[in-house]
Amino acid sequence: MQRFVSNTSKACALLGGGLLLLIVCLTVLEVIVRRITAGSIGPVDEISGYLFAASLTLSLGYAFEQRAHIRIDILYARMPAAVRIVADLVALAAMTVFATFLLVRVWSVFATSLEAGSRSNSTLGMPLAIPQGIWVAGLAIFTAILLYYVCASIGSVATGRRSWIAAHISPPDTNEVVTTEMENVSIGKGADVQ
Amino acid sequence: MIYVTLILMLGLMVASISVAAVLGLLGLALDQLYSFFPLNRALGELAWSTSTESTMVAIPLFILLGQLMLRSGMAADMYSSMRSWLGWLPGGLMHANIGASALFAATSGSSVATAATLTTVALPEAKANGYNERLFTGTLAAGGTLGILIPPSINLILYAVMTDTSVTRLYLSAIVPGLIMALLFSLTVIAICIVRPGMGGRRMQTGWADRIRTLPGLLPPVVVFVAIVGSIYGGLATPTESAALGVAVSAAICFWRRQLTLEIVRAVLLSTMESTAMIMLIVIAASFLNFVLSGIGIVSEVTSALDATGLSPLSVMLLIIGFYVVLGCVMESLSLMIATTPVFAPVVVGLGYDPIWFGVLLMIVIEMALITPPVGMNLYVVQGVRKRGSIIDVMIGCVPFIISMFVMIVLLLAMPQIALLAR
Repeated sequence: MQRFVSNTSKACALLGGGLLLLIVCLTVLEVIVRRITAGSIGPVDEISGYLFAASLTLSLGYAFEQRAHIRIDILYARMPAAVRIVADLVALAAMTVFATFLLVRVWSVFATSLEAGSRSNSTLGMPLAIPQGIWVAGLAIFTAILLYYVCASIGSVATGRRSWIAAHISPPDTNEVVTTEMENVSIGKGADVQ
Repeated sequence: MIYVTLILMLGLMVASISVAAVLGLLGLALDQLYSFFPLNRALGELAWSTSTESTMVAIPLFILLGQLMLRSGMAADMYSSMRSWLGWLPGGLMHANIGASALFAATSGSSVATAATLTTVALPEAKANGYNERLFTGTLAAGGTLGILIPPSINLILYAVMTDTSVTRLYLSAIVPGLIMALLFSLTVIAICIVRPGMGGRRMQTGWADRIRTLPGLLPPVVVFVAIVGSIYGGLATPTESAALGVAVSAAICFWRRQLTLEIVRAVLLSTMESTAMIMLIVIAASFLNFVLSGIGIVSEVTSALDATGLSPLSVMLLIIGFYVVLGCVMESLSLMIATTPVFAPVVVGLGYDPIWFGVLLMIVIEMALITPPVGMNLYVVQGVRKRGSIIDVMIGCVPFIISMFVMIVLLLAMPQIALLAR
């Protein structure tokens, strides 16, 4: 189950990344075409907005799994282990409540667009239900992932596996942050550096 | 109402609840407590308009660009070039640290990434050449903060969206203060090294042959910077379009340096989306909170509370700066900025200050938050790469640069024009 959740969130984030690359290609093409022909390949701005909205909700779950959603840990870092577990559970619950509420509100936006057959107020006239549908789906996946973690956390507390919480829910300490940051860096061959 | 809001926000945040959830739930709570009609109905629409805002699209693009530049392996070459150009100054390599940070900042919108990369490249040289390690690490932590001031800056885009100001004008206005800030850092190092020559390490001998030979090392960041800022300045592209151009150029640089493997692209995309999702969830929550705050009249209440004190605009500005400096010590800088800008920016504009100018000033206080203990991300990043000694060394090393940031703030207050050149 854990693996399924992780793979899903990663696949969604990669899909989001793919959409981002699509934005890059479309935008660069648009700038070039505009420069050369003074024309345009279409409402790239608007399409980028839709792609971005989809890419961002699709990546929310992955960001959560990477424990990237910022938490202020000034007090947390000074709490005893038992209190930390409580803080972790409260934080997880708060995030889940917020995400659920957001999903409900966002769903009604989507449902209204679908029902009314709303189209965007532009030359493209995009039926809004399409981009909003993908966007809502991303948020629904995020909420589902959060719910999975709520259940799994309760389960691990019940069975006394505290380390699971530390590994999946606790905010990464600064050493972990630095380590991840460094994984993203390639400083070069360093031939000139002593 | 102001106090309830402040206490709730700080309380929930200190309880280590995710910042996005704090802002969102605070919005819901304030709506329940103070609003006549349910403002939360608007959450869905607000989330949609924030998610599709075309200015926002620049954020993931600039993150992607920064990630690509980090992977391109250009940092070491750039650093050795900076070393041969700036190493002769009193303080030697420390100027290379600052110069390289400034240049790196010009391709990356992240202060943490800038500090992490340059510390890795530079730190091994500190010991080898007898530098005072405190001051040396101070230049790295402080230099890294330039990432959010010198364009492309992700924080400036967020500020622009939240205050409805132009990213273009903000970017063009931030260049000069960014350069002055880097210059002030360098002057600080020179002053310290003249007074205490022992801190400056072994003087380096560099010649023109060396400088010319290493010059290509500066090329990648300069090309990317010119592609971005040049296309904005030349009216060729919007900030979002310039970000896409920047991504294309940096991808080309990575390809040319044989760093563009499928595996790297995958890793770069994943970490880009991770940061994007994190930032955007906070932004969505903040846009809702912002809507509720204006709906229940917090902004006007803050303004009238400030009016009632009878303070001059300058005193109010100093109070606000003080507020940021204090809160910056204990709060993560991005969250601090997103949570407070919607309230303070209108207040400041009401006092007659220019929103562009305030944006630049805000970047400097936020930069300060990155190097003020106990919570200053850059301190931890530099120490994390250093892996020996105590973090106290880095904190002490940053003190002179915190002072130069205060000098910069005074300069901005005394001569607002330096942040308003892009009219």
